[in-house]
Amino acid sequence: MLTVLEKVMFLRHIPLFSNTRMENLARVASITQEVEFRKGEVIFRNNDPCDAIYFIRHGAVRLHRDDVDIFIVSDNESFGEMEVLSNEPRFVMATALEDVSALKISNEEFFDVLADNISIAQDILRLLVGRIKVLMENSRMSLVFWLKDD
Amino acid sequence: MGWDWQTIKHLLMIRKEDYLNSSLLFLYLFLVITSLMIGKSVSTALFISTFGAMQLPYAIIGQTILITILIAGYLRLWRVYQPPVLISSSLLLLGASGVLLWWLLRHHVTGVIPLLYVWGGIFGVVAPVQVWTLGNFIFTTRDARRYFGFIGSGGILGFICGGYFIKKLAPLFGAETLLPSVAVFCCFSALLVQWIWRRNQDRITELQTDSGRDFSLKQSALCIWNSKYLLLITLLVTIASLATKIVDVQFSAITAQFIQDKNEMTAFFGSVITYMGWGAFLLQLLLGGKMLDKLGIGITILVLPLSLLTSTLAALLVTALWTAVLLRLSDQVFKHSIDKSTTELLYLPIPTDVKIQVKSFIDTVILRAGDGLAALLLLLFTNVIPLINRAHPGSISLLNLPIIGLLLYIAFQIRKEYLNALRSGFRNRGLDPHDISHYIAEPATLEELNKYLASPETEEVLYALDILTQGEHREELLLPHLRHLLQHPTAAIRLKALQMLSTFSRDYVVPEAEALLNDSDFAIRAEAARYVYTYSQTDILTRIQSLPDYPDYVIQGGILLNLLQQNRPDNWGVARLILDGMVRNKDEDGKAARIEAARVLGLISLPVKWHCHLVDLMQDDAPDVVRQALDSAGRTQHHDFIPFLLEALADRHTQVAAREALVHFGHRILGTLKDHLSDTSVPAELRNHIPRVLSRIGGQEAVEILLDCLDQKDVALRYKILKALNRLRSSDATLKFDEHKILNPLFAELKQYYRYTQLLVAFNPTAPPMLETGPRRLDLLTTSVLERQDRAMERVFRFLGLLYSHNDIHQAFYGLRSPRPQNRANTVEFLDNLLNPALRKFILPLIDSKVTLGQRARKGRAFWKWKLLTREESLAELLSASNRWLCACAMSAASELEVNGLTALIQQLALSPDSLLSETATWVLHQKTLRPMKEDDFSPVALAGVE
Repeated sequence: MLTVLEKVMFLRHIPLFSNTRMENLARVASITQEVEFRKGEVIFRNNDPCDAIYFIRHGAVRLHRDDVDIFIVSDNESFGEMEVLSNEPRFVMATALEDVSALKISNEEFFDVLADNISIAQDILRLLVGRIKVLMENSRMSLVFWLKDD
Repeated sequence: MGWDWQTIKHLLMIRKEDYLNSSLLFLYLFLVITSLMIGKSVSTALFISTFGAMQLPYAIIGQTILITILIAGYLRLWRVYQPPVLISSSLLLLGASGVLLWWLLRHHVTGVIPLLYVWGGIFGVVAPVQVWTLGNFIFTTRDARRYFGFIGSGGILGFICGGYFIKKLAPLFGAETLLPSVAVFCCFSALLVQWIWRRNQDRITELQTDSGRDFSLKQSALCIWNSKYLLLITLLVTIASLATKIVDVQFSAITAQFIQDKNEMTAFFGSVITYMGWGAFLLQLLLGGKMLDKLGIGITILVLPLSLLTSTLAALLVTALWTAVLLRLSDQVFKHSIDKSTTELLYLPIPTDVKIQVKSFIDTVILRAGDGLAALLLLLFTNVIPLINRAHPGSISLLNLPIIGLLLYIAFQIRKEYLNALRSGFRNRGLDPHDISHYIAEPATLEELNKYLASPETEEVLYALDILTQGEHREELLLPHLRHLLQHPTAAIRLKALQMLSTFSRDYVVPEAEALLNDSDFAIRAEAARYVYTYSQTDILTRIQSLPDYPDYVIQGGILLNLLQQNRPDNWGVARLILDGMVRNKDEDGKAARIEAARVLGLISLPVKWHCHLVDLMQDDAPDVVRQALDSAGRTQHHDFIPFLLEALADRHTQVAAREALVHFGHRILGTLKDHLSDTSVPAELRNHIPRVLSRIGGQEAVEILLDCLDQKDVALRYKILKALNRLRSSDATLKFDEHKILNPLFAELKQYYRYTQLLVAFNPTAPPMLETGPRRLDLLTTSVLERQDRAMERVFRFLGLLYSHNDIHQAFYGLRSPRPQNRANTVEFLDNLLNPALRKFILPLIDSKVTLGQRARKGRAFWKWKLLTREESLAELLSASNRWLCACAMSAASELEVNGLTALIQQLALSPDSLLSETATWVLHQKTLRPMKEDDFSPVALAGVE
């Protein structure tokens, strides 16, 4: 059983929380649950209601649609957060590629913590805005290169 | 105090990484000024001994014309060549021409002496300016301010050595023999320029991202003309040049009255330069940089005008060699030390590209124009208007005194503009602080939004409506647009407009709403009916009963309102039946009716016995019903509802509605809010929301309540109070904020920040001085302490926002977080000028990114007489801290660092009722990195900390 401190030590390296202050992260850590999946176990299926975000401590998970791999996520990475943040059903299937040890936050509890601690929501918004900026910059650069090539 | 190297470094305020750059520039300026002194002394002595001092104005005019032409060419060359190439080449050319002039003098070629005088002038214009230009390329604003004093001392040392050189050698070998030495110094200077440039390539690239160097004299003049600040700098430089040139001629004229031989005169000039140099050197080395830091530009800018005023008055009263020396000293001692550093600083708020363009123009063309003007005035007042007596050079003071008066006036003006220029300089590069309501009030923004409102796209109109509702004075701004939109072809827009009009306080659009009772859209008809029976006395029931498709609850609501508005007790029975019918259906289908019932109860002055119905609706299962009931309770402004509203304020589902409802009470509720805010037994969830209510109510009384409660131990609540005060400060400029009530908590915040620094430096001396972005490499405790400091810094700036202009401080806060070093340096410079000395002393070390953690900790110990902490003491303090998270992190750190002395304290914490502390303590003890403690190891001091 991990302590809150140990969970924070792990969560601070998850990109979703890269802007989150440690004290806020402790609040998030306190609502996480430790979960384990055996190799080959299906964690969730396509179109399942989104119920949680997962943070992989050890192991690897395959995110796929039928036989087509979308992503492989492993140590210190998260999955399922996009559906939770957009409140949509799962659009991929998640299967453990090997034995997986992870932390799980149910979306209801996650939103409760966000609502009670607006600064955590601000931290996540900052992260998402940063990602959008990078995407915009990349697409601008792509356009510049495309025009040059043309 | 011992005069060791550390002391000297401290006095000079030079950072380790800048020792070499500063020293090289110091040496460069030294060589240039030495050469200049030699060139100028020789050329002036030869001219005066040959033609007489009163002929100097003619030479000055010729010099000015020639220099202007040369400078025009020089500025064109900036477009073609890199700065180091141009600077080195011009230095080599000046040195070579000095040798050529010496050779021509030796061969007694006619007309060389006026040419030599002009050469001296060109040297004086070009060479020293190049040193400062190079300095501006490699230093940020902040560094420039710090080092320009020291570099300027190199120039003063050049005076001393140059003067000594002239004094000793001129009588021995003849004045003109000194000219070839200028060439040697110029060659060394050219080499130094190359070295400085090459070793700072990276830094120059980083600082000069946008130096468009494509400019002409006309562009430079236009640039100055279009900026009030640049115009003031130009005037200051011109008038200062005018005044000092007249002083220069007056000095020469008085000297020529007493000394006639060219070699003696050159030697005398050398002596004066030496003494002048010593005075200026000591003044600059010991006070220069610090004087700028301590007194600020506002005081130092007045030093030269005041010294000129004193010596000019003395020369008017007594014509003697000593008054000549005094004139020279008053001019040169300050001009090349404090005044030079101060004038250089005036350019720093200007963007780099503009600075390069304008500074060269001012320092060359404008400066010469001042000289030329001085010469013309001297000729005018000697030959045409007989103000100056040729036999009495002291009378030149009569011309100069009004000019010095004007110089003082401009210096006063520029003091005010400097701060404004800095402010706008970093505002243009930072985030805009204006809130949304400000934007809406701004004509250009309104015009843009009007375009959106007239757009054929529904989404654009709705978007504009959403934005317009953000403003503070939305009713008068929105009314014309909304009235127009009631006829919009799109139903969604008509509905949105009507809904927004329903929230207004007055019956602005009753006729239009009556027209909408026949609208084709059901939702609009319902909304129109609600609007009409809310704001109109007409018999709406009869009207709507004749119209099709009205939902029951709208009709029920209309009847209920009519009955209650008649205020007849015999109606209440029926009204009660209708209300019961509306609220009976508790499921989702009946929600609209319950909301309508709650809304109607808020539209009238409700009899007390009806209050219970509204209270029932406040406890409804549907949040929408509760919110409407809270809003209605607020509209009644009856004190019966206040406890319920306060209770709802603590619930995150209802807090927004409760807050708005409380705001409806206005100033009448301030006393109750104050009692709750200052009562520590009231739950934090409720207290935390009261500051926002106070800021929405506004007014001086709300400010006083918030200020009185500012001294909070609860950091989160203190932050909320500060935010509320900041909101009030930015929304109403007439509010007063008592400085005494702000300073105490502000200093407490600063003290806390410094205390964290002490703790940090004790357990992790290699920690960075500020929170860094990017991957998290630091340990948990270090990161957590830095985060606490970061939050503390935000609060410090929020406090400052109450003492100074809210916008300025907001800009400064984000300026310090800019990724560009130049922006950060400009912000520090801005705050340095803005803050009062007491605050500056505490705040500047915390925001200057070049101050190390250790230096910051030393400052803290000096300010509060703290002793140096050991690692164990630091962790023990954190273990005893009221913040449970820091305490948990400190336990982990104690385990990692194997601080056995804390085992007892951690064993105690394992018994804490707080699960975070107990589980962390148990986990840490389980790690077995700490030595187990016996019972008698328990320190009473440590246990007191836990208590």
